[in-house]
Amino acid sequence: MDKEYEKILQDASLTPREVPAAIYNRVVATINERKNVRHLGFKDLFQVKYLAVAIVFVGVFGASNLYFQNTLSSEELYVSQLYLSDTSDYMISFDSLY
Amino acid sequence: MEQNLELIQLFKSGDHKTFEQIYSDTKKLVYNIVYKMTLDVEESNDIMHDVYVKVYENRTKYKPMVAIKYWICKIAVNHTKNILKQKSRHKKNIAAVGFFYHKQIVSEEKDFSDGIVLPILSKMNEKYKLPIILKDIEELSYIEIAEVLNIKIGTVRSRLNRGRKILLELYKKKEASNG
Repeated sequence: MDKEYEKILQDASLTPREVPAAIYNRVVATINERKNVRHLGFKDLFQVKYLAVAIVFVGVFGASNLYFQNTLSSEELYVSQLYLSDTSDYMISFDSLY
Repeated sequence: MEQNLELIQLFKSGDHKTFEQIYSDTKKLVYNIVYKMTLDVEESNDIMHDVYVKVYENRTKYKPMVAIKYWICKIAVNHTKNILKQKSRHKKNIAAVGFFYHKQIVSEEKDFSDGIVLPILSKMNEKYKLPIILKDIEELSYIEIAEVLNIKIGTVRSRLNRGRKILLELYKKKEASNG
């Protein structure tokens, strides 16, 4: 290293800076904060609130399923209305069309 | 700081006292590297915070083949590089919005009343600037620099020689212009 370059390295702007004391406290605070944020584990799924949500979901799904199973489709509704009317059975028989 | 296996085990297990000891042993080196890369005290403080949080969270990934000091330096250098990249991208985006922001960008440029070398160094290409910071200012060995920058020792040597020449030229130019 030549002398000119050594002179450059003595420049005032290169003197080491002191580290602000507050940084470590901030680091520790962040680490503790992140520790307190718990990740959802498998066991946590059996908490009352999650079970309640699951029961409500199953209930709603089951009820809607039952409702649609017991509700007549438009074709079935049409046929049932024909049966209720005075139309004779042979008139609504689809076989008679052929 | 000596590489103590017991200390490393305690650090890996998340012992706060050991972490504090590692922090106090390494903080000055890491802070000065970060500051010389950013030239911004506030930014350096934020980066220091992020780096040590990262160090704590990734403590189990540390392998004692490298001294912990240089492992932390590596994290610091990479994190600072990412921050500087994001910052320059952000500046470009702002500049693209319009010239009204030009004044704001110009005002962000630092004013160094003490010494001229650091401002000159800041204008140099990163690949020449970093070896100078690590070798000539922070006095790391070639092997350590190669580890921190993830390059070969030969590359460190050649970049350092080239960087020194560039720095010397720029310094002479600056001195000549100052009269």
